[in-house]
Amino acid sequence: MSNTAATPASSRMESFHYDDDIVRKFTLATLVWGIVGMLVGLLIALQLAWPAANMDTPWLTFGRLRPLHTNAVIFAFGGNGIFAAIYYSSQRLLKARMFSDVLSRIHFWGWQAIITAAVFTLPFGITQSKEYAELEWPIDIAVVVIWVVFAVNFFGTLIKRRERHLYVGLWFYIATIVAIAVLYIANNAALPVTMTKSYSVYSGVQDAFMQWWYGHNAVAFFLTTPFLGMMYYFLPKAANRPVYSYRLSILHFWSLVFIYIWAGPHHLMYTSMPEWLTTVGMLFSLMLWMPSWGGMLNGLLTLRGAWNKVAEDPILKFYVVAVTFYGMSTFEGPMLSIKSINALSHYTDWTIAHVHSGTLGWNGFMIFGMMYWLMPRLFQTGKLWSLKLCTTHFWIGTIGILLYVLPIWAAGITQGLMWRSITEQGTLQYGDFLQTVTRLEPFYWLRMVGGTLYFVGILLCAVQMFMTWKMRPATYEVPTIQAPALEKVYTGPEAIVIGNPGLIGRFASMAWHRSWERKPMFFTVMVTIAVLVASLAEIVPTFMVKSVVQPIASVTPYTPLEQAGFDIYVAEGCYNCHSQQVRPMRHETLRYGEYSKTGESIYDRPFQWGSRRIGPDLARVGDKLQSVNWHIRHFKRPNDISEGTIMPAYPWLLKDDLDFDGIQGKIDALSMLGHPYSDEVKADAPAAARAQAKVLFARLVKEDASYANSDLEGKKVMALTAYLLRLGTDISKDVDTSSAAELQEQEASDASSF
Amino acid sequence: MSNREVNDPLLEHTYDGIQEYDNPLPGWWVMIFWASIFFCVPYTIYVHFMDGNTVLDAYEADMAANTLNWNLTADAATILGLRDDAEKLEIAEGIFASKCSACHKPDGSGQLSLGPNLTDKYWKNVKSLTDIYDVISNGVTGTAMTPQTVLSKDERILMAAYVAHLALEFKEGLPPEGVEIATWPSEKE
Repeated sequence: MSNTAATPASSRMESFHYDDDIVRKFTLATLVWGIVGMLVGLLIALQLAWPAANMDTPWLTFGRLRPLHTNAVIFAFGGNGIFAAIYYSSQRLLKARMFSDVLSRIHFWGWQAIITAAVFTLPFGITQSKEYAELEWPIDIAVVVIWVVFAVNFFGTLIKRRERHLYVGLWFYIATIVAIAVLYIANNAALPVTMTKSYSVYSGVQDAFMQWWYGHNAVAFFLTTPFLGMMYYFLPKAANRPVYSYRLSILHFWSLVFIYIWAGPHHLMYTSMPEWLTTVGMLFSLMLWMPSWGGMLNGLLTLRGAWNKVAEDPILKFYVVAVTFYGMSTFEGPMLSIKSINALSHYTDWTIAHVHSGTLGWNGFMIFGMMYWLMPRLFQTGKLWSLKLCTTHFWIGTIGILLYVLPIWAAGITQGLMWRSITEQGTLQYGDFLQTVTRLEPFYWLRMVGGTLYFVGILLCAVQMFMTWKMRPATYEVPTIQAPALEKVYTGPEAIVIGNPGLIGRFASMAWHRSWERKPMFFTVMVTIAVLVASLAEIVPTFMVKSVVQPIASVTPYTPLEQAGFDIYVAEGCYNCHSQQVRPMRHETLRYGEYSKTGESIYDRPFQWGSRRIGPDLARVGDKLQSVNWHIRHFKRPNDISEGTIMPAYPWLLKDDLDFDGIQGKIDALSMLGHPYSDEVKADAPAAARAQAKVLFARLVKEDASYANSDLEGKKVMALTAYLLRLGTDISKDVDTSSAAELQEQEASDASSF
Repeated sequence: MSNREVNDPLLEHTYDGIQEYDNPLPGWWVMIFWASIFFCVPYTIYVHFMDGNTVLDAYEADMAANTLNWNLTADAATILGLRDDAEKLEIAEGIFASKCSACHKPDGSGQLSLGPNLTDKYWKNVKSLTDIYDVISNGVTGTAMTPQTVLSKDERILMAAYVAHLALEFKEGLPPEGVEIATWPSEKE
């Protein structure tokens, strides 16, 4: 604590204590949820290689568990990890205890309650189906409340700090808090139907835009900025080296915060999203390369002169690999954003490999490095229980990552190439989608091996933590820290610009930034402006430019029964394996039919374009399969119909009753959002649904008389089948009368401009 | 990397013991960053305002160059001719895999109450070769067979030929349904 140089001697000294108890809590939660989240990941990975692993149990099935895996590892493992980092480092960087112990505890227990709520909703089909934003509206509100608690606690600490200037780590924490609040609230805007069901206020292409603006920036501001903040504190601490370049910190911080926001549309290339938006997404992704690498450079170059320590210290090893993976994924990301590369990679496992090199390598290893560094300090043992065990974790984990990423990378490219392979005669070489699925099985098994190794790693971490904890003293010492209070007015020296460099030189010297660093509120406002300007520059045109959504007269809202089916599709998480977006590419239209248009998904709340094709695209499935019997049999036992498929069986859809009466509330809510329904439908939606189920059931019996005595008419499978029969068929329908068409068009554009 | 002493300029401030160097930005980093920014302008102008290929341009050109355009007539002679044209049947094989195999199985051997075995000589809704074309075009009401509207006329004629071709080589599968047609009426003539 030698930083008294800039403080006038007249300042009164203050004594205080750091709150390490809260850091211990968050660290333990990180470990526990990490184990849970990764275990769920292993289970769903196993199901891709061996579908029977769901044991025909709804809440153990891939579509429902995959969101639990992503939410648990991102928000529970990652989230608790960054909170541990923020609570430990901020107090020390600001020379102040957290603003309020009560708020700290509300934050901690509130966050654990939210995650527990996720565990008890997602596997039971209670979901919004927007990736990484699946939690239903009551939990969303809880998230916002707890985030506000966290923000008040953090900014309160900034205000009562005893360190004049904000260190770079804190800039990244500020960006995290501001941006996540904006993103989360905007993307989760929904109209509740019941306590467990809501409809997105956005639909179709606009919903897709909002979702990936959010989804991309959840990666940016939940898995990148707080982890960079973590890196800027724990890496120089562990290496005991100064940070490589202050100037690089400033430049890569601001460019990262500003540029990241724009890149969301790169998740929607070749979709019916207007191409100018995807061009923006691609170009900003390319621009993002260097700002990201700025962080990597500052991390790796900080280790100059400390490489001998890396050889001995497993914690530094974790950091070196983490930062290297950060560099690799932030090179791969811009590369995958190049349109022609995205054409190959999109919807394939390549994306999964890309994500996991970032999450397992960068996020996971940053957290493990931090935990190992913290253990002796939090438990006041002076050392880890076993350095050897720590090194073993490092090696097992690293091999695990490679065994995960390399096969899945190969699987992605294999699948992408098989999809697009066209013979000399101009026909698909692998016309049967199943061929492109079964080919991946060996890769899926290898991935299981890699994932298992990584999981063993976190178990070793748990052993280490338990054994180190056992070595703790009877009572934790709470050292008293002394630091002078801040003067009301800054009287210290201004940053000096050497020589007479002129305007540009003055700017490049970054002296101006020094004054920003002692004005936390001004700094926060500037971050907010950077995030909002970049967001609005894309959001406003997406909602205001008329040509973004081109209504199609023959596209009408789903019938009540089909809407109930759509909701089952959402609840079962079908979007986790099936996209609904045929891209304008010859091999896609040969395989699936006409490419998707913006006007087609305007009644989808939320949009169901998906991000991965573990199974085939379903945007035009209604054109291909009009057999009720086919769908019934396929849901009951997919393998009976397509041998070798990895789609799990859904026998419960044939047993569970459809809640006809609940449909009324859904239709009411959707009417409020602007979906045009006839008066009869609005008056009695359940009756309309029952009538359609009756017709459908009659069709089924006509196809196969053996169903005559079954009770399928009132089962969930009827609604889901009704939806699938309808999917993608609207654009080829004739419009009855021109006036009706005009009316629909009018109402459609009203609905979409919401 | 070596473990040499680093003598870079250190900044004065310290945060919880962490110090920072005042190192300049790496030159190559600055260059690539500027390049990625400048690249935007010509790229956007070329693709969106000049004769660069947009995604839809590229797609339409690809389709125009590759769409079947045979202008076939749906008569028995044409179907018979295609039935024995190995090269064209390869095209049909690809279409069958993506559009028909879900019900008729990849080898055409059929599935109960979804699609009959197409490899035997028994037919349910077909009496002549052109009937195959009609079934593909119009479907069969009350069954799983739906009108294959996604296929062009040429493609439907080709698929009729492919189905006729499948019947030449029996494969074990769904038991025969319908009426036997040993030879097509058009072949006898």
